[in-house]
Amino acid sequence: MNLKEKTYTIDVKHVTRVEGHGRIIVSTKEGAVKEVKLAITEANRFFENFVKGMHPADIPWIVSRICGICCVGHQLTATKAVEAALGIEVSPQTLLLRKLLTESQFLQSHVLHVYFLAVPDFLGVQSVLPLAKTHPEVVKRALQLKKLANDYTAVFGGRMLHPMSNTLKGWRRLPDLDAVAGLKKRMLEATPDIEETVRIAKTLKIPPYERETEYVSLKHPDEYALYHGDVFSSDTKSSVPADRYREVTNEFTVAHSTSKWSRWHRDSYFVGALARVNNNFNQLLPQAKQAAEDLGLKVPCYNPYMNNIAQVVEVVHCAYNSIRMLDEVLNGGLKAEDNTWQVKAGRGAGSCEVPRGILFHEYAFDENGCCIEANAVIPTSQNINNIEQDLKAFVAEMLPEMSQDELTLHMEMLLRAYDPCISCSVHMLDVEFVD
Amino acid sequence: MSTNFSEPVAGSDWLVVGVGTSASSDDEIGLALVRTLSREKEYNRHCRLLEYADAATLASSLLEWQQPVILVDAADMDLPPGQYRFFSDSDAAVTVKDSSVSTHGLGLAEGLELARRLGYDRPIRIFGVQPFDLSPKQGLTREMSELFPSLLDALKTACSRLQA
Repeated sequence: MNLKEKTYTIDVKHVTRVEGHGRIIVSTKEGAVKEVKLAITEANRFFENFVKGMHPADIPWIVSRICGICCVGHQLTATKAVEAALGIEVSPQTLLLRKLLTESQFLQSHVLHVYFLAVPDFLGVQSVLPLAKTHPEVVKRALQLKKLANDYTAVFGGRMLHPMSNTLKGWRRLPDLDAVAGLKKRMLEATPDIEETVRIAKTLKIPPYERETEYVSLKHPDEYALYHGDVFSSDTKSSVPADRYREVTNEFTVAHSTSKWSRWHRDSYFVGALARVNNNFNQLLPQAKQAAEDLGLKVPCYNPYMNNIAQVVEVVHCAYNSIRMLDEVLNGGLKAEDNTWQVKAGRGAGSCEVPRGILFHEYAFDENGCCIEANAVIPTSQNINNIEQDLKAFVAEMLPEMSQDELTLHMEMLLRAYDPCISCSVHMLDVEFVD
Repeated sequence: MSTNFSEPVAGSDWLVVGVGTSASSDDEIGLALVRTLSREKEYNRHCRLLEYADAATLASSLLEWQQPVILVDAADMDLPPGQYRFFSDSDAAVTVKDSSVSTHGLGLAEGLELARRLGYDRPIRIFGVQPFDLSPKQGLTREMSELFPSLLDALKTACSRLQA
């Protein structure tokens, strides 16, 4: 078809295989792109208002309910923020347990996303259900890995979703060391499945599209930053502390989205697995670096579809790093610690990496320990602006080559590559009326 | 999770599996019924809880157990609230979202379908209870709590019919 004849109106009213309602609107006229929009129409969740008046210890358990996939991340980030507000320091043992809980969540989420969402896309089927007929061994492996990750969270968190063991300053009930030993044995037995996951990922044909953007992630001098670190920008090659997160997110609103948008040093920025791998590649474990090489992921990588591949690299990193940390627990043992603390007035912010990118929480308390202010900025609300910029550039670049159907499919795949959680991205809009 | 219960029963025995969440009012009915049932010695070893379980967890649990199951859950069956129905998965048109699923959106029906497609061929019975309210709050509704003893009796009758 002649480019001049390409007058399309594409309206994907409900992008499937993402959480929540996202709509892609594209309009082209005679080969020129008129409009590309990612419309978000989810209602507000009001979690930041739910917690006002709450006791500090209750907040992490309440806000974990923001998301059933990233519940661990919301809980830990809120815990860090509340601890910062109250001046609570944690022990090395608590830090280790929280890192284990964090990596259990990465394994849960990435396995689910790669096998249940990405693989069906690349194999040309609608979901994991038809895949169960055509590739049963692949789906069985996914289920086994997911179950292992669920059980991993349950060993350290007390249950696989919305854990209850972690609390301010420490652990309410320490993990059973026999269960930790059993988990380590299962993790070691699962390493062939991890290697097979890399092999499957290698067979996926990633669309060759690139758009350079700003990559933002936590960065830590001693480790591949997932639980802690400062906020690093690939543009400036420098970091800011997490409590200055508002300088990073610069949230703003647009008419076609109920989710807030973010930008830092340029129009938009990218958070998530690809940003982390781009910014912290040298701190990946050798097995993960090898996986990246096998999968053709060379940093810096500017292809957003490669976010799925970066997730596989992180699966490898988290699996082997977890085995190392499980050994640390087994060798050092666990002991009951003093978890007492005092309420006081204060304000604190915390951040963690969660599977979809950096998560920020901030809380303020009065002298009685009642929460008076709360704010949460989740990864998808930081990514939405970047996704729309990607879609705009993608349509302009691919319009000459692709049919309307191909364009639609690839735009949906592009959106899904970020694994957005649209429901979670919509949070309370502060409105101030001026007399 | 099923960590509070005894060792698995023999392969031919039925498992009674409570499914649901404890944060959405009557969505807890399956968990509450099976939790109560598990306190009785004769039922304890048959009981399992799958709290907050997604489809992957349900499917992998069924494939691991390889036993016939009675799933106890809140279900929208167009019945008056509080009424229950005991049926086979093959008797009911359970809506499966074949294409519009997300990591967050795979539910009970997709979990059963996934297990079936992966070779789980044991009988599945569903003890479904029509909820009064599924809004986000803890605890069953007052109306459901009042019906709880009769629902528990009905579940025991269903179990005894199958175990006989």
